[in-house]
Amino acid sequence: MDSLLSPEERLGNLGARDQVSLSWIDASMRSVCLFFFIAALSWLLIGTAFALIASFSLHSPDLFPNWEWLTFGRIRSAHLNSVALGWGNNVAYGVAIWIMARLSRSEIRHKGLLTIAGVFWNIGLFVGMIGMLSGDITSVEWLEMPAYVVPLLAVSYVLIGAWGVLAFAYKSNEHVYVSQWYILAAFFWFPWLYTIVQTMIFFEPALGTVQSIVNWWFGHNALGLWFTPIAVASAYYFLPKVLGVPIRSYYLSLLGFWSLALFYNWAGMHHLIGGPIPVWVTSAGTVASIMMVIPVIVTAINHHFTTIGHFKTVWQSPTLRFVVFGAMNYTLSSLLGSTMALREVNVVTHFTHATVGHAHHGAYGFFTMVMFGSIYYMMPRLLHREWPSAMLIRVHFWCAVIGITLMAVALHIGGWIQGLEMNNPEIIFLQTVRNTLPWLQARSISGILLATGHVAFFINFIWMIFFGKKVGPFQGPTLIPPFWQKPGEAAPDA
Amino acid sequence: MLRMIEWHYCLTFIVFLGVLFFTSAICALIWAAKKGHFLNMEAQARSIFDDEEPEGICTDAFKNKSFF
Repeated sequence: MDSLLSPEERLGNLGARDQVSLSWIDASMRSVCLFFFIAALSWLLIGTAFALIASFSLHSPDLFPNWEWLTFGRIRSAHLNSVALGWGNNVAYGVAIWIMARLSRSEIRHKGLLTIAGVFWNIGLFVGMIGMLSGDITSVEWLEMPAYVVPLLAVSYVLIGAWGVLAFAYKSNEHVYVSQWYILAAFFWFPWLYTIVQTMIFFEPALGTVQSIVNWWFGHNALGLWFTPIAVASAYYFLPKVLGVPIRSYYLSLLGFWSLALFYNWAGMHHLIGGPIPVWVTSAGTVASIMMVIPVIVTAINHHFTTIGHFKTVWQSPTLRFVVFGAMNYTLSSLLGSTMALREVNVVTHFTHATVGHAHHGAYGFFTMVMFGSIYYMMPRLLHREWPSAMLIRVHFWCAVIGITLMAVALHIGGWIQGLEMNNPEIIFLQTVRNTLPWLQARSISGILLATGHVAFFINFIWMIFFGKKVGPFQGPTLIPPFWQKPGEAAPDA
Repeated sequence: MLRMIEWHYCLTFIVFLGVLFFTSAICALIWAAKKGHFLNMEAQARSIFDDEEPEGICTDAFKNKSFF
């Protein structure tokens, strides 16, 4: 990396401009984004190992030694927190701050805030993970981390959110692109959600079933008001950027953002359908879940219609393969989610593996795939190095696509059958459990595929950092064709 | 009784945060409207392109045309 131009040199080469150049911003963000990506990938591998142990434990419980820390309750929570807070949050921070910096087009200020937040975040997570595995775990889903790491995590959120607001405040670009709306909102929403839920469940616990309401208000919003906006913002940035065409309808993109902001935070109550809470609360959740069709369809129109006529380019681009697959799954998983919020459907899918399948469909098929695509685009620009192996990218892509498709299909179908059987009083409960085994085994196979893809990605990533082929500032990194290439054209040495 | 009083204070804090949250959202909406961010949508959509990464240029592709 020492052969790269410094930010100042790069700025000088470009000449003074009103706005800071993109390559200068990339160079400025290099160390911080790399830190978040290395942390994210490390947690992804750890979380994948936990996932495999948890998945195999469900159909082959004697496969692992009889150690306390390997019990399903701990490993499953360790998996959730590794992949959601470790992988998900670290990669979301890295991608979101890079997009925000690029769109703000101003000098990068207060990078120290990001570094401190990143260090705090990962220390908190590591300590919390050790605590959880050793049995210091809460019984609240999505909030299993022990209370002593919460301040560290909360401070990190606030620092990163504060940086996002500062970057936006100092922007030199007169426009506000829709991705900035999503990212700013996500930076603002998540600390708020986290503060409320920690207060109402742990520090000053609410009475009775109100805790359950707060729990699922948070659990669902963590996906919909944190991970979803970051991934939607990324798709809105990378789709037009790589294709070289503006999004289909900017008007619809704003409609999608404000309708998401209005409807999503009500939707989590559908998790409590049939529970001991006022019926109007779950009804409001169901209505909001159906209203979510509006932002989903609006976003789908924009994402899918932008790519129409550019399928060849999408297929040739590593970034777009992942991002477009993620965008397709956003549409599909969101519409399925709205359907599952209907009482008639929920009475079957509730307490079954269909819910687990839906969560993975959204969190992996949508969010994670978009994040993979984002990293494939960002890394060559951050490092000015080529991705060393196109083959490893293909292995990663196909393992991820086949793996998550298999998992989503198996768990949705298996869960639906499980729900029908559990509602049938003539079938004994133990038999319904036995009947889930083939679907759980299919899930483990999908987990092996996903793990293979993650290892391929990790090898390529590390290989790129240490041994990647260097390229000059404006030659274009490897998988990026020279500037003269038109959409759909192959590179000259193809 | 003491527990209820504590909870009352906690609820006040949460309501305050909620009011702050919704006020911020409304302020953001008004700010955006006043600044004209809901006008000239074409220019907003094209704001991600510039001389360095211009419109009409694909910026990411595999070098060979292998189907997989």
